[in-house]
Amino acid sequence: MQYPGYRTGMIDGAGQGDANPMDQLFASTYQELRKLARVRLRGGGRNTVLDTTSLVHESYLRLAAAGRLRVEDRTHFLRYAGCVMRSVIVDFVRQRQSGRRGGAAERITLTTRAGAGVKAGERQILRVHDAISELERYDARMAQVVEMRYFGGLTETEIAQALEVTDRTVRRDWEKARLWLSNALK
Amino acid sequence: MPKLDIDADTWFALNSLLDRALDLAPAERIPWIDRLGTEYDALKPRLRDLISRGAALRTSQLLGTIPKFPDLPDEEGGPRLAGDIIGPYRLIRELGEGGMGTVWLAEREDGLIPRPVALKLPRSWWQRAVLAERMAREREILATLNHPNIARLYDAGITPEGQPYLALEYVEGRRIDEFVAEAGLGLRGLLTLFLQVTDAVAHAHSQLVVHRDLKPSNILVTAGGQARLLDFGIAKLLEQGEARETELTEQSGRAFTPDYASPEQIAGAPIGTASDVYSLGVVLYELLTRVRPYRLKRDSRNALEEAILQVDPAKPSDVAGERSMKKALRGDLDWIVLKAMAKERDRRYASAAELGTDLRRFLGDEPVEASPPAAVYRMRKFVRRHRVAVTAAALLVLALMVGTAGTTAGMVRARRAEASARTEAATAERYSTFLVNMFEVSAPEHSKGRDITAREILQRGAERIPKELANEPLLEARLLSAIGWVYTRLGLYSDARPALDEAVALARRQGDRGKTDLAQALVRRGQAERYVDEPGKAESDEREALAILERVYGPQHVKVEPALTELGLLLRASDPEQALQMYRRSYDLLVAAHGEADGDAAVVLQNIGGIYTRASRYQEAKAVYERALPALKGHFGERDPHVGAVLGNLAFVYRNLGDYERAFEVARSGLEVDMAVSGPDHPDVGIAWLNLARISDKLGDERLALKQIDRAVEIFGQRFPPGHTLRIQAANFRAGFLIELGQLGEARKTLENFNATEATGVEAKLSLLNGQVILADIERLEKRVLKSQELASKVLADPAVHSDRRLEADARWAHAYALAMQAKTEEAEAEHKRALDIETALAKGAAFPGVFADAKYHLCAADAAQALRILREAVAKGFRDPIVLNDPTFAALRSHPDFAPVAAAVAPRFPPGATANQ
Repeated sequence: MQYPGYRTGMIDGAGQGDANPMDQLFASTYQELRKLARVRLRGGGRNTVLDTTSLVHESYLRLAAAGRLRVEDRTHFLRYAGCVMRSVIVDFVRQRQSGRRGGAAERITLTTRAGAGVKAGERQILRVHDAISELERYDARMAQVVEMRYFGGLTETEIAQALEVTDRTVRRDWEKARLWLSNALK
Repeated sequence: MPKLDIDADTWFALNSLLDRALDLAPAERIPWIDRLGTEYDALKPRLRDLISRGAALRTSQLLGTIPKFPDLPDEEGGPRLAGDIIGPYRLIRELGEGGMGTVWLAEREDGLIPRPVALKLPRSWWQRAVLAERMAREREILATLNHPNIARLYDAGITPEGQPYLALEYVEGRRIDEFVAEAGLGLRGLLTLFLQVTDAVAHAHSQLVVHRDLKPSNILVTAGGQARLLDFGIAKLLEQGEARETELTEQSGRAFTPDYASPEQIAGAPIGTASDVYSLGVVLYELLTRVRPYRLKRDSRNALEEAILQVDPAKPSDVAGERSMKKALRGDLDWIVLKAMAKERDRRYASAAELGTDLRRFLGDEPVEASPPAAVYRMRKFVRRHRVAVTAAALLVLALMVGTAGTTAGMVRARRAEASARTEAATAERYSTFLVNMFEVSAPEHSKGRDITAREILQRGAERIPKELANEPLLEARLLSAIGWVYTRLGLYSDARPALDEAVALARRQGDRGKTDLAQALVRRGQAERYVDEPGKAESDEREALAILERVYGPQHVKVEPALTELGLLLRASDPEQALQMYRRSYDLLVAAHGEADGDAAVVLQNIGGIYTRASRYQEAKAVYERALPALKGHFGERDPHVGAVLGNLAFVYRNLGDYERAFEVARSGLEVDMAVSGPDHPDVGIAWLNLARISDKLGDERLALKQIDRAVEIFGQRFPPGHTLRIQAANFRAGFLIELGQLGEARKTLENFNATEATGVEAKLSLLNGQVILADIERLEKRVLKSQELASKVLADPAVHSDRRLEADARWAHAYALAMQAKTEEAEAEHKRALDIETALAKGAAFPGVFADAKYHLCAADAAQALRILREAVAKGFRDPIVLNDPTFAALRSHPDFAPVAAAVAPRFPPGATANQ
């Protein structure tokens, strides 16, 4: 399942017009972002240092190196990245839930140290997804901050650039979003 | 769906009030809300609610991270990313993309190779089973090519997702043709550089490895002028893929030109070292003349193939541009290049070494071999005549060596052998001894890791021997015994047994005439039986062998030694004192016969170290190992299984003496030696992984330890039956690490795999009991204290437990823990005392006897203060086992303020993962 609404909305919002070649250009990185989302979900032990931001940035640089992007397109790309990663992660969790029957659940190991099982993790992701959708009705930017940070793994600075606001605004949006969502996500 | 339950206007109003409140210091916020005017009364409760959540959120992780799914499989087909894990490697950055797939700079996750590697990721279009088998076969051969001018292949494999990978040494350099063109090398400089290439190829050929795809892009020259050959032997691995690639490229219309392929490659005929010689010839042709050897009427693949098969290339001197070069090439160099590029294999140099030799002759102004073809034909006839003259037994060797390997290296050895055999050794006795030597050369310490080639040789040998030597039963027995021994050395125990059984039977039937052969076969069979954990059979074989040897040679003769040493190895668990006596006798015999520096004496010394280690006499063990190491290196060379073993043992001793960093370094070099010598799947390598895991754990990296032990588990699983000691031991360690990681369920599962296992020997039995002690710990941690106590007392009731004081102590500790947790104070104290007594008795040389267990006991007895006292005293004396940071029982202590200095003291200073990540 895709979220076409997000994607077109975002590109339009960026003032790039309708039949923008950017769409296509970005779409060419879709596979890579998909992959990135999976990497992010897989996490890893202490030996795996993953810096999502730098990875997203690298994807961007590859586009830019092709000479087809302007500097200011970076912000659009970051928004696109956050949204693709969200859709991939949510798809993944849903697939996983629907695909799990009987014995399959056996294979899932719980890490007692983290205290939360895999299933709880799946539930949490879907709830955050729903909460963002809900939040969007009231405050689209706040929703986007959560999306980019939680699903996209981007830093405050990256998000600020992408949304063309100050770091402080991003921090405040994040703080408020956490307050608003703390009940809904309990 | 989580609802905010709010209308848009209210949201807006609340949100702006929230902003203002958040601008204030936290303590001022609620009073500020209270002071708001009455028009806000409807909003105030919600606002207060929102603000009050803030305090809790400051420490909460809400939305902080996304949950992780470590078992999420990698997506197939998608592009790779930096950070991706491929088998044991993590990708760093992409180096390039080619026809075969992509190449990445990558590093090994488990720290085995501390340098980055070039990781090739071929597109996986082969059938997996075929490829997996191919990879496994080839990598063992290729991983052992060790030459300064050959970029090493470290590893090759397939991930569970089906992605094949090849890990190669990462080389920074320029293609040789570009380098030559830009460096402006003169003829002499160029040839000297090219000799690095022929030497490297010659080395590979002597190891029976053919490159198959030599071309300028595979020959890099570093900034320092060092040539490095890439992708050795890989073409063979990827052959199927290339065939497909060709098909694909033809379909897509892209040009694919086999510029450097030999005629036999084009014709699809079998390929050998001569193909590489041909490719080297083409490369040299181009380097000298700067043009391709064939002028094509039309630029197509077919035209090129036709030319390679039929057209004689122009002489290099005819096509070279510069006049001075033309002059220099004319004559000898023309002949050398054209001889290398001859259409018929037999007319080429038989190997890269011969090409190199002829180039050196040219550089030294000596007459070169390449010249009129007549000489070649004469030589060939000589070889033919020569062959007819050899005896049946020599033919066997020739057939084995040449038939299997198809290289000149084998030929040379065989020819030399043939000559020496005929002139020096006329008698059948001498002759067969020589044959035995031929086979023994294939054991890992001689073949430097060419396991599989050796195995092929052996299989063919074993098939032919009965047919060809039916009239010479003693010779047959001796050969089978040698083959069996080599099989054992290669870890192929199930192949070893039938050969050795047959050898014993044959020798026995010969009566007195076969006595010494019988003894030797018995010693070897006992050894194979020992490896598969059948100590009873092994001991009876060795005792029979010992009796024969003592009768024939007398008890003070060094020929008695092998049986003595084997008996020592057999008795080391069940009767260490007797084993020590056997070893000492062996050692004395060897030193008397061969002197102090003798390699075999050093091996026995190593065994003596093993006895000390088992008895926890670590200082003595350390001294013995440190004495053995230089003797072993001197005698066997750096890359030898004995050196690997002693490094592993020494690492273990360092570990138990508390010197974890040194232990890790030594263990890692031991592992490298074992892998290089025996190939990555040899049981010795499994043992080395196990060793390394136990040290990584002590350095505080249990995850790394777990990865390492899983490699050991995998290897043992392939090589041994389920009840084998090593399989049980590896599982025990695995469970221990999992407990430290808090994964009790997984730890339990690991141990329960062995529930229905029957122990085959004393060691296996003790290991199973050890597993039960670990299980008792799990039960206790899961608060099933009665069950825990029951398990521990069952272990203590087993008579076997008393033959291993270490195990007994552990069982008593487990028992004491369970009793203490039930507040059965008296019983607990009694068991505690018994456990401590054993620890003290075992303490000789151990760093901190029982500290950890003692502290743990007091925690179980709910006396945290006493536990802390013990730890702090130990820390003051240098105790630094990080297990107290990880063991779940110590969790209660961790929040105790007085624990902090202990934690700081034992915290790992040098985690192996960190060094591997540099």
